[in-house]
Amino acid sequence: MAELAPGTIIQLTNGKSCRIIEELGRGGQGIVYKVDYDGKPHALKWYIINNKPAFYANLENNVKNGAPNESFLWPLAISSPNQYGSRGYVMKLRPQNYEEIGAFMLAKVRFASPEALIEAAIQICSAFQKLHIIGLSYQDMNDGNFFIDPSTGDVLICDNDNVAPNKVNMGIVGKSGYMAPEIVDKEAMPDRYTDYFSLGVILFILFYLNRPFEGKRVINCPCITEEAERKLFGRGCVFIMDPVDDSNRPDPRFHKNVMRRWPYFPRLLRETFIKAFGKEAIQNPTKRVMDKTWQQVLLQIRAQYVSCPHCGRKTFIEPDSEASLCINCRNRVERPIILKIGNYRIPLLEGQKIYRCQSQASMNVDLSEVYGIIIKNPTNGKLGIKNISGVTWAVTLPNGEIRNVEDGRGLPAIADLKIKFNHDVTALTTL
Amino acid sequence: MPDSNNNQTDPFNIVDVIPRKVMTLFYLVDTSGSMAGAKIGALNTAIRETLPIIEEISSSNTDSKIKVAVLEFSSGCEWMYPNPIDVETFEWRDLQAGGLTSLGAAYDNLSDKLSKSHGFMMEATGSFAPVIILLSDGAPTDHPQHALEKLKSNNWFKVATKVAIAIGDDCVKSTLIDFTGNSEAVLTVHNIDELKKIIRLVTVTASRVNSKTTSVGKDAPDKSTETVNTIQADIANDPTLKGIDVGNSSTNAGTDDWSGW
Repeated sequence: MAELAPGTIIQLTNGKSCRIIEELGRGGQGIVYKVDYDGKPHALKWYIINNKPAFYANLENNVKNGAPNESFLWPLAISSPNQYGSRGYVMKLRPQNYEEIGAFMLAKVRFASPEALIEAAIQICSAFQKLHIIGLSYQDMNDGNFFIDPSTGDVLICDNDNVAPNKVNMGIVGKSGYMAPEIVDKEAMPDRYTDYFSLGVILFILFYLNRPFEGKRVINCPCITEEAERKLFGRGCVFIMDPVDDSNRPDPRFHKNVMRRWPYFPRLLRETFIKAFGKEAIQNPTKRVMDKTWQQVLLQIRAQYVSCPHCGRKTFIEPDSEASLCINCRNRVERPIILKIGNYRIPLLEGQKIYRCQSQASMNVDLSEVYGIIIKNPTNGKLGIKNISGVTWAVTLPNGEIRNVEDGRGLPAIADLKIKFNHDVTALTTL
Repeated sequence: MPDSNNNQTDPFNIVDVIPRKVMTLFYLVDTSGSMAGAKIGALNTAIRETLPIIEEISSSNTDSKIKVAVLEFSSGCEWMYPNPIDVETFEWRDLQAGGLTSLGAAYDNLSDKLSKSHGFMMEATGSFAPVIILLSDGAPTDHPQHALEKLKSNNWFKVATKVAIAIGDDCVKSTLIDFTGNSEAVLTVHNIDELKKIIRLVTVTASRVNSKTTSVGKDAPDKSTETVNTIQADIANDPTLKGIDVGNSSTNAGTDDWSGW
């Protein structure tokens, strides 16, 4: 299969065509070209390996069904067969300001703030939740598949050519260290449960900037052969933060990021990773943490990143502890009034946001849409909850009096309020 | 979103580079007298031109960084530098040709260095199996069998991805097949252009495959097989490489032309 010279016209199965502008990059599977398609610059991934007809049939099917959501750099059109010895597909171009996860791992870029990091994690989970819900699995997840804007946390997911129905593998395999242990052990085919494992690995790397299964056991292995990788990443793998098995702990010389960051992110995040990579989840795919659960965990920890009342800078606090230490000024932050909505515990401190997704039963909404905000009264310094939801809340005051709080109005952020956001969801404030 | 915690007291502002393994790329280069002239000149040029690509593969690689080590053998053998060097800082010194073909001595020397305790492989964060590329144009003038037996018992050598480039018909191909242990990993070139292209192709493919963690899945090939298969596919698909013989094939025997550029 020949490389494509600038100016080459490639016919597409949708009846349109694209024209090669220049090469953008290449990897083991193919070359990515900048092309002119539909009057706009796009990317064309052109394969330099031989794929079976079933691979292209699956790709065509994905084109037809469309992207699960806007995070995917999804195949938009596929080339007709028998041109220049191979085939390829057209997708949107990645914008300049998006970086690979690898750039974060190599400390070439970093998130502007933990908010941006949490936003990226939420977007990744939402994207995979949408993908899994239609019966597809991503299959080959690794640090090369994600492009992230470090300032906002916006995510684009590329390499969607392996996306296929569960248990159907298009012949392209994944990388050990990212793939589920049963795939490393060559005992299973990819499905959404193997995706859950890989999703956990990606999230762990984003938060802690080390790998979840690379601790002392890897450092003590002079030559990481393929056999060694099977031992380290197959069913015998050990999470570096496993609370019981300490055989693979981080090495303070090399795994500095995770050792520094582990205590600073909320307990809920630690506990969820311990569950996601526990012995049970390693052995039994159905015990893994699902994307929807991750989503809820991330929405909760987003609520726990608040402005310190002492120094004004941002810190994580624990809503179940009487007090937390500010990571910046090290002062005690007493537990503020907490708004309980379903499983969410939202500390009511100045600047806190109440999101629509937390205040209604369905998560099938824009996860960044704000329903309420905590503001400080400039005259008396007291905190209030401002309704910006567009609908009226029915609030029961501690004395039993019921008051309507319309859009744009506020109520004092005090304990023992009952706030009815809508028919399905009622929240309580507690001390 | 503004950087709300632009301060070194914030632990989230401190980030260290993730630890990476090391993948060492070995070149074993025949610098005997018959390599003089166009062959050694092309080899020097080709490797010089290829190293920036390897640097790119290394610098964006989250799994490993690539180091380079070069052993030349003629009447004796000598390492270009006393230790493998990060490809980012590696400077290629042009090799000169002259003398005999002491392949056995090269094998002995390589055996010594393929060791964690007293050799090159003492990386604190661990190593991937190395890549060893052997380039030769003739027959060994010592008796390398004994040295090769010793080398083959070396655990690093056992797991290494080995590729040999036979430069012209005078090269004793069976010697190179003994080295790689796989006839498909021996590639015979017959002119300067092919030599330059194959050095680049083999170096880039072997570096790309072997500097990443393993591909897994039911039918996933091992790294050596993936390297050799990819090189073969590239040769088959590039019309300008059709003069290269893979393995025991002698389709292009007798077409040697070393007349220059």
